[in-house]
Amino acid sequence: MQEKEIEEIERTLLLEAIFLRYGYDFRNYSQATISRRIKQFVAKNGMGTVGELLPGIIREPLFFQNLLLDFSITVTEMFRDPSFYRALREEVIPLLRTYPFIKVWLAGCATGEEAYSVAILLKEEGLLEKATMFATDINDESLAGAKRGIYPLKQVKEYTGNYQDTGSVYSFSRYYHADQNHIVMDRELKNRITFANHNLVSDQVFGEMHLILCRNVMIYFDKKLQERVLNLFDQSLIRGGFLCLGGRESLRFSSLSEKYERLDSKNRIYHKHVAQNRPPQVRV
Amino acid sequence: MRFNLGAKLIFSHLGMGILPLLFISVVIWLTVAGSFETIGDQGVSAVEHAAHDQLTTMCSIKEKQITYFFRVMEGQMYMLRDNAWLQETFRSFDREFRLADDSVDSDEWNSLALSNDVLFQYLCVHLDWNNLYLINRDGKIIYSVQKSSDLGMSLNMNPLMNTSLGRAYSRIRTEQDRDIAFGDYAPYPPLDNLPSAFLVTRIHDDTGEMKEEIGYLAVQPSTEALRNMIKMASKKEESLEAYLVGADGYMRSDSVLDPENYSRAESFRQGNKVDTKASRNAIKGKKGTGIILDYRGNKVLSSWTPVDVFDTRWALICEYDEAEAMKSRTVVNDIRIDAENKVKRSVFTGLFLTFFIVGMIAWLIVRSISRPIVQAAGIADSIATGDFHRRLNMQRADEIGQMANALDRMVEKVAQNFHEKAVMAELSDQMRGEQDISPLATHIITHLSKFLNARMASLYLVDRSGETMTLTGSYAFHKRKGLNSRIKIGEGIAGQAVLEKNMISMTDLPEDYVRISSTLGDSAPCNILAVPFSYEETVLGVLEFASFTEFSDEQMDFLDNVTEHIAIAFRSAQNKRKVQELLEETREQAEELKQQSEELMATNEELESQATALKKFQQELESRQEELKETNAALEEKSEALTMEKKKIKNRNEELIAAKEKVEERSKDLALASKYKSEFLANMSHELRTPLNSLLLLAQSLKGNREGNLTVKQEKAVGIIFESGNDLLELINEILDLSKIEAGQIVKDVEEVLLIDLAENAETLFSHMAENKGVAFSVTLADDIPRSIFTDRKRVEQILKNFLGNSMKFTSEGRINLTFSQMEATAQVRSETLQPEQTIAISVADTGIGIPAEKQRSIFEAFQQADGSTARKYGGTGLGLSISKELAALLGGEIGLVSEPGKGAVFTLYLPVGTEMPPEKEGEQQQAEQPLVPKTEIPTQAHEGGIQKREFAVADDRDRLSDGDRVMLIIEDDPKFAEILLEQCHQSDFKALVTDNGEEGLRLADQYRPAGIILDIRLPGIDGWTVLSTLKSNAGTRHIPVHMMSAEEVSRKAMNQGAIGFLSKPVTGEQLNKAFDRFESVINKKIKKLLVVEDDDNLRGVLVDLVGNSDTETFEAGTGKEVENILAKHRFDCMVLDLGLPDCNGIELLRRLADTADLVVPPVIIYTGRDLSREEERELNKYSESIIIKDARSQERLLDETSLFLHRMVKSMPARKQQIIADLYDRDKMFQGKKVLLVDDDMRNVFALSGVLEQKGMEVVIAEDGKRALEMLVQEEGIDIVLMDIMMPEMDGYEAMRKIREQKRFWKLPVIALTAKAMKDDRKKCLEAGASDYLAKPVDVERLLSMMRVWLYR
Repeated sequence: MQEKEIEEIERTLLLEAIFLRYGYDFRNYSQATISRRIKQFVAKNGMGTVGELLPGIIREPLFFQNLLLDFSITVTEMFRDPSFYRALREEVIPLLRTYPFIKVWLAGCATGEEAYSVAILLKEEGLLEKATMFATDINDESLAGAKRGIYPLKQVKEYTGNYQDTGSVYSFSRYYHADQNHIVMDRELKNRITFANHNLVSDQVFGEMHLILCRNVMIYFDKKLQERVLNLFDQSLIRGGFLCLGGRESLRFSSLSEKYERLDSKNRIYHKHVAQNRPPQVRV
Repeated sequence: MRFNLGAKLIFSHLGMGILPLLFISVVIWLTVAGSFETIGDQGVSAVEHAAHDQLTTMCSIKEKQITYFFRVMEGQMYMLRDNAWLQETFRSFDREFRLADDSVDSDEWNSLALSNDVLFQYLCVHLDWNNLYLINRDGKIIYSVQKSSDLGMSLNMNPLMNTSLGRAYSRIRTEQDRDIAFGDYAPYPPLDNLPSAFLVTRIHDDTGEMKEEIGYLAVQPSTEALRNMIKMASKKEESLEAYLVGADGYMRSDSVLDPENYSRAESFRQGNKVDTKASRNAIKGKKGTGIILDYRGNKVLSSWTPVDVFDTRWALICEYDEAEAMKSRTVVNDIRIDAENKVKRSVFTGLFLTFFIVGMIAWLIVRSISRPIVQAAGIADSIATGDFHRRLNMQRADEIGQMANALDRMVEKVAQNFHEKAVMAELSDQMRGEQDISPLATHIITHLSKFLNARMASLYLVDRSGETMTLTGSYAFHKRKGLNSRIKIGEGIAGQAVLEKNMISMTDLPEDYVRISSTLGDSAPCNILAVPFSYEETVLGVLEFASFTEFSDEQMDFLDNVTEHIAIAFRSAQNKRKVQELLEETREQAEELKQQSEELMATNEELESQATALKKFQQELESRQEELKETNAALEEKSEALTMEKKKIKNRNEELIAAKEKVEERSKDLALASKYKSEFLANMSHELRTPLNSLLLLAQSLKGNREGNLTVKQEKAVGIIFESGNDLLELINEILDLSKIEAGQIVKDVEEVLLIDLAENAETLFSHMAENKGVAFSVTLADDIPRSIFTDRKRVEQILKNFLGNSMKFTSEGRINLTFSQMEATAQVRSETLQPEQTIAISVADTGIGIPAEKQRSIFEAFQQADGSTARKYGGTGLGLSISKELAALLGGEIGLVSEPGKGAVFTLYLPVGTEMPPEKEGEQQQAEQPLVPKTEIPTQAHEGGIQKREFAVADDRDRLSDGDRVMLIIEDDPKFAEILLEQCHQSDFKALVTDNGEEGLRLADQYRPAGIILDIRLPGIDGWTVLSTLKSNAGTRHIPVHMMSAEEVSRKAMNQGAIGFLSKPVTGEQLNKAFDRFESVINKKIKKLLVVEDDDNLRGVLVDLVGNSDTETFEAGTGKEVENILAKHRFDCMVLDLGLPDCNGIELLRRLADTADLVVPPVIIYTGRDLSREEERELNKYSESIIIKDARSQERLLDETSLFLHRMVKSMPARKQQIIADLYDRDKMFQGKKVLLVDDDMRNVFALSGVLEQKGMEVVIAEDGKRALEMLVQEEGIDIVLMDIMMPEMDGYEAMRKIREQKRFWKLPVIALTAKAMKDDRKKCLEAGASDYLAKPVDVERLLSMMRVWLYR
């Protein structure tokens, strides 16, 4: 048997073990990604094969937490992709204004940068008061970081640039307090966001959302899992709700594509049709 | 050691004065000291006695105090226990204690305690008690002032049984005649194990006849009181202390000296016992004093006595350190030593004074003798160091005075001598060194003048001739008439002196001889002195001095001595000058010589080099001449050849020009021809497609053999006709494409194209095909490529389709891979504009048959394919790649191919990333897309082609129309297609009107108002577009659905102008069916009813205009009343409601409508400008489908929401679900009247669940988060079960459940957690937080109900 096949068996066993032991289901994650992450983790811990991980993972929850940290991708920044936020501001916010109250769900919030960015956007548009925000992730450690809302000062310059590119007229510094090395996000923003653990792979709908952001999370999922997650979002969204995906994610191949309209040509912002069998509008 | 004279004298005086005195002092001292000794010893023993007595007295006083202290306390306790109030209070406590099942937890007990606490506390404070206990007959503590942990506990049981309190209690219980019992100090656990003592006495009931014992009163004496009483410390005797020790050896009071180990608390805690002679004796009952070792191991003076407190014996010990006791003895000794010291002091004072006086006298005498001697010695020392100025000047007549005068004179003489020597030395100093003659002369004359006190002086030197002298130096000299700076030898006094070689001195000179002058005046000198000086008998010169005073002999002697030195100095100066002059001369000569030699050398070198150069030049010249000759010859030859060549070229040029002209002409023709061809082909599209359209449709229709009158063979033949037609169509399309490109009719439509979109489209199109063929197909996007490029999406897709289609065609197994990547720097492209970093490579790699190298070029050429057989095997026109190549070029890119026969091929499309094009160009492009041939030509062509004439062949249903018929208008100039359409109409139950031109079409539309119109675009006369826009601008025909069918390409323009669809010919039967379905759906649309409720007339009008359209009947209402009336009469599909109505509030209206049984309330859309509170929103959500807040984009939403309700298919609840609910109804009587608290912030869930639960007859209370849930639990009485969501804002489910369980009364309340989380740990977490059970979301209603059945079952 070739080394590659053996490794595949080991990986399958490991993922199965993780599922049985901790309930985290990575079996449907994109195997290329998972394989790469596991290999990195094996190398980092000075081990030779994936199989050597198994006893540690099963016996020591802390060790597993480390692996989980490596699995979940925490690369994120504030106002990443400013054009997206601009589109959100111009295309989505005006429609959200027509609801008495709105709920926003950030799935896979990682360390919270995006959640705070959206909260800032909502605040500037006067919608934060009306909004209930949920930011969820599977990684408790990331969530704890997100709750703290403390970020290194050295990144703030970049964030500020991004922020300005979103077409805002204010100063980014309104939303944080800085000390020598860090900034801490404004308490008002923090209080508006409910940070919670939610696993897109196994957990269910928990609320009725007007806006769901899940950007660059599903790229790590395989087709089957993507379909499940998109269905979860679809069930969570009100009719007329908005779904924002990352640049390389799409509704196009999913069974939902009929139900959604691509709102913005550059960014993946989808608008769920109000009427599913919408007749052609005759406007004179 | 040697003493000087003074010291010897002083010592001898002192010795004689003091020695007798010393002797007398010693005798007195010895007598006095003996008597002091005896007095001291008697004092010491008296002091020791006093210390013992003091300790004993202290001990007995303390002992009495302690005994008295406890006796008083006993008395106080008796007073208290006999007090009626106490007895009454005791009974009350006893009662409440018993009533509360021997517990002090009851509220009644608490209130009783509260009312009595103050008094008891007062008692304790005033009677110095730390605590007071009431103990009932069972030995249980029913009250204590401090309420420590022993409250309520029994003294008959552990842990209290063995405490001091317990022991005291048991003693008083067992010994009936005892009235008071004392519990000695012992650690008491309820009071942090602090050593505590207790007094217990009985309480009797005085009210009854019998003095019945009802309980016990126990008191804990204040530890402070006893401690303070015993505590003793003295400032004088620092180690003095008193303490109590129990029989067990532990301290009963605190030690002053070692409180860290021997305080009462610490001695018990650390187990430090006191076991000394004092404590042992005292415990045995003995009193005593003595010097012993105490508990610290120190030697102490101690007094001890036993102390009996009730039955307990303690040892009281007073003591202090022996060392301190012995201090008294020292005091007596001190007095004695003091007296001794006084005697000593007076003796010493006498001695000292005598010593001092004798010393002073001796000192004065010594001083007068030794001082002059010391001074004389000092002067001698000064002379030795060269100081001649000091003198003794002693005016004494004695021997010492004489000695001093002689010494002074001696000093004078020595000084004189020394001065002359010094001047001489100075002079020779001046003359030393290399000096020129003139400054030397000046130096000498100046110096000598100063020494001789001369007022004027001159120095003449004998010239070389030896006959004259020249004035060389002078001092304060000025020339006088007749006197020269040069004099002859023998002339004047100076000359004479030289001649004589002897000094000449003159005195008493006449007045006018010479004058010594200063700036202030002048005077004649009295004396002149001329001094010649000579070296080795040769006179060198003369010095002449003039002075007011006579020159002394000493001066003249001195000058005599000096002249020789001066002569030497001048001689050496003269010699030196001579040598110097010679040296200078020699140097100049050497310099000159050197210069001359250098010049010579330079000239030599120059000459040499010139000679060499000349030689070389000559050689070169020679060779050059040779070359020149050769070149000349060659040139001649060449020039001949050139002339020939020129002629040839001229001829050829002429030929070329002619050829070029021809070629240009030809290419012009060719281009023109090609253009004509292409234009022809492009324009032929219409003509080609039109007949093909009919052919295909009819063939397909025949193939269906609907009438069943075709034989199998015929059917097959028809099938072949159909397929061939299709092939033909494809071929035509491709040829047309190619020719369009070649004719330049295609203009690229540049837009931003997302690469991922391209990838996705390709995958959608081909993955299925690949699957069918059993070939693996994958799409890969490299990471480093840009997100998007600017190009013509349609063309790129066409190329990719060609590539992929090709690969699919030629690959029967293996895989096909579509890759998007950056162009590699090594990739070979022909165009230089394609920079690797600015170019995207899209390649299709397959594992198909591949292409041989020699064919790789030709496959891109039109009408060529790898080989003929391939074409036969795989089919296809082979134009695809040619088209692709042209398209790629059009997009600024190109196509690369790498292939090997049998190993597959890789086609790569290189595309520049491009930039955004200015948008205004698009207009031009669309213009350009119009066919080249002017529109007006079409009818003419049609006429000439004879395809159709004015009289139209199709017979329609014009004459057979009746009321209720559905009529379709067909505007189509191809009679065959029109026939097909007519047939289709009939099949779809339409009557049809057919016309071949737009003008008539419009007339018919207006006249017959058909249900639908099928419209062609190319029509004789006005075209289809004009027809469409005219139809849409006419109010009467605007609503008629128009479907366009044309040979032109699909255009969005049609939809924009209001057509319901567009079909591009040739159409298939399937497409045609779909088009008719579309008609059906539009035509069959029922008229919907909409109610708009708004009190402002203007606003209502706007709303009606906005929402209403042709298929909607809109009703309006301005008040609540009107709404109710209108709803009673009509059934509406939707209602738009503004919340602010004049006669009622919108929410109230909705509530009322919902309660009115016979009204059917349509879906309600709230349209309001008000900001709503969360409560209002929740309330409104119960009655309405959606809420829209008026804002910039709200109209859009209103339109969407209304159209949802106006057009949606009304779906009733699935029958199965209804059935389930009906079935359950009887079983679920247990749910009747149960109250459910549903905690969830997801309103859909809330409504869905509350709907089901209410149907079961349950009352549902809703809370949107944990906080609210807790409030509701309190607010709403009798909630039977809680359904708790987990993930909620504010307070989540876990916390809410924990908070619920914290309240005792909700311990048994069933709480079912509903959670969206599916992790293994979540169930555990829910149960830990207090959930009774757990249900995963989405909620399965049946499971929930069965779970609720379990939890609600009683």
